[in-house]
Amino acid sequence: MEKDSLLAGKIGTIRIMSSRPSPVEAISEALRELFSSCSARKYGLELDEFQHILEQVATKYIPSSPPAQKIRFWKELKLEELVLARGCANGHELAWQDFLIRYREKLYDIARGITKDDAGGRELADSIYGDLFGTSEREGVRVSRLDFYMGRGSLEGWLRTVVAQEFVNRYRKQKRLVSLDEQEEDGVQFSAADPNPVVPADSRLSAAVDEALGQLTAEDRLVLASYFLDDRTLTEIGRVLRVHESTISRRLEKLLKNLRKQVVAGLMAHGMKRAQAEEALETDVRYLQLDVAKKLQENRPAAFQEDKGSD
Amino acid sequence: MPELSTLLRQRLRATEDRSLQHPDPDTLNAYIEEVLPAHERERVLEHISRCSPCREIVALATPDAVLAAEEQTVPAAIGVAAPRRRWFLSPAFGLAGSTAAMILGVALLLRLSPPQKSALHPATQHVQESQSMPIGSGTTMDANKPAEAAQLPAQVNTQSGSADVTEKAPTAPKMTATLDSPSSAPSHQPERKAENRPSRSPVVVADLRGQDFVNKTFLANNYDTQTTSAVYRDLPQAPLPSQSNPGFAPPAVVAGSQFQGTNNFVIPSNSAGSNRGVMTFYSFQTHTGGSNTLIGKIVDFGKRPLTKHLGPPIPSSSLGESSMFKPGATTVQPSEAITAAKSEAGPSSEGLAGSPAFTRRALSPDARAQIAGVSQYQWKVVQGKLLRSSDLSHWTEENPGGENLQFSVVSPNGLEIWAGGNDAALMHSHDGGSTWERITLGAAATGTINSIEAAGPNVLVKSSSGQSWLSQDGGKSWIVQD
Repeated sequence: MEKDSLLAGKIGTIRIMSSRPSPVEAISEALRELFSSCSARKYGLELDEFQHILEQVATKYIPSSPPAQKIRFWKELKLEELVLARGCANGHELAWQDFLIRYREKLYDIARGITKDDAGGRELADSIYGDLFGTSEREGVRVSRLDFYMGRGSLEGWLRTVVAQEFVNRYRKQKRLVSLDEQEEDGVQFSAADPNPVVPADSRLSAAVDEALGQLTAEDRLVLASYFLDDRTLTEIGRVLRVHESTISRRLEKLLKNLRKQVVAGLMAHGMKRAQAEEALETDVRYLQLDVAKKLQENRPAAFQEDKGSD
Repeated sequence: MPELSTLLRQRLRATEDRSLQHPDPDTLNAYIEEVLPAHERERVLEHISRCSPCREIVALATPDAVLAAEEQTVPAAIGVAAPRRRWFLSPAFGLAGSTAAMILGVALLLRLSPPQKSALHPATQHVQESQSMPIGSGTTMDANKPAEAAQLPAQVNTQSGSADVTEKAPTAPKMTATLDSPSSAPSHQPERKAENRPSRSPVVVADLRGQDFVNKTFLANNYDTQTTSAVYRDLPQAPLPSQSNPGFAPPAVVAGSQFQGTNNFVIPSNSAGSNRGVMTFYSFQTHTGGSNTLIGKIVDFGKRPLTKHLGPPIPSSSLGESSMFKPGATTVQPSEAITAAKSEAGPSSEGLAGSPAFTRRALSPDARAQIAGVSQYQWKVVQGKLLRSSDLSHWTEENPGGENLQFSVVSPNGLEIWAGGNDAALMHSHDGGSTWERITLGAAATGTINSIEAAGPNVLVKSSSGQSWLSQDGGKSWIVQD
């Protein structure tokens, strides 16, 4: 009697398990569904290759994730654009036709917008276009840059990012290869002494500032770094963070006030008296406000500011 | 000592992490397009806050168009205080503002429209004020001398009352009509009203063109003022007669000898007769042979009457119970008369509300609501087709008589619909468009009818050939006008 009930329970469990699809079956089913929902076959991709591409994307961004999460992730991908890019990477003619129709002019526009120069933008876009087509080979296989598009964002946005990345890389290479004559002309090689040299700060001051910076959120630090290091205008910072420049202005002002308080507190924690801490900073809010006002009036049209850093 | 900004610049640069592994373009693009999950987004944000090249890439790759659009709305994901919304630029505010402007415009239009209670002539006002006074034997309409009466100039001589008014106004003609005036004041005793009520109430007078009016004294003596007050509240008091009968066409007998229904009177205002007017009113023949005007309207002949809907005439049966209309009849209790009137669709507020004497504009909202059911169709002619609509949004083509005429003009007047077209074609419906009959103007009628002015039995039709045809019997006979 007891054995019968146990057997019946096992049979029931087996029946329940058999009615529920296994993870492999669920993934296969989802892949088939996704495959039929996009133009993969139109661009010469078969189900196996399509599955390989999606597995590649999932392995890169959500490794060792359960099947359900994988399926959700795949469904959020820009599959139509992903199969187009991979079709182009495979050299499929129809895929290239579609790509050229949709993105060739956009690519030029993007490059012109980034370089602020028609000729330079066209040259940059042509260079990117060559990379996308795949002019280099690796182990005898043509390597297309489109192979690195994973479909998380739009293909147009990816192209814009690729162009921007290429532009930054070129600039940095160009900077390293600048001739001595140009440096001399720029007054870099034999530049005059800084009239306001940065006095090596007290180690306590550096430590206090580092501590204060360490407590900032990533976004606050991004605002400060964009403003003080990259010399970006408030408008440019606001564009990146999707807020109005006045919001950035208020935020900067608040940040500097809090930072100053924290630095003073940090200096006092390191044994300074308040008067000493204030003197060490030798700055006050009025100056910072003036500085902010001055920055607000700046209107730099150049898209890419020269890094005034030490590198 | 270094300033804080210099210090920050120095320390920020020092804490830049150059050993970080940069996110690939796909991830940076996903960050820009805000499709990354929160934890991954935070990781990218942390990186670009410490990586100058990636900050540059993100700054360059952020499309301007997207930014311009997104500046209006701050994504909550980045945790920045939302910018102030300009409430006055919101669509809801715009909609509310435009609605208010429309309402204001309509109100102004209504205010600027011709007043319903026009200033009466001083003499008329004087007479009106003195209506409560018993009026002596006034003039009696001489129904047997219409032609003679039509030749009389619009000269008004006040016989009763103190005012002497002479109306000589070729440019601003004064129309005058009068019926028998009451011989005695009404009694305060309801039971005795039938006996004491004036046998002939005062009627109409001059300078009321375009105005609805009502003989309130008549109503108060004969009908339920409670139920009719809503209808008559906004109408001016019919002025008392101030002169002898100036002459006008006799009313047609509609229902026996007791009651005379809707009538239109051509009232010459000067000797040339060029300034005629049309008076429409309900009147009741009294036992003395005169008539009482209950409600009425005077309009210019050259203009379309303000009355849009000619209602059915008041049934004589509803009034026949009153001793007022039956010589020697027994006194009827007002309550019984009211009950009888209501039950037989007599001169109740509903029946009177359908009177052509009322314009909707002149009525109170309650009264307008009461007569709302009278209106059935709106009519118009578009591209030679006669169209009708009950809601002004859906129009149905009407083909009177199935003759496929090319219509040029339509003149709806309550249930009386007149429509004209080319070849002097004239169609008439007396039941609101249910049935039609072809009207023959005459053998000499030519051209396309381009104007139809109808007021009761009086119809004036003009054609493109310059002809004018007038009918005073609802279209049965026509005469060519000069």
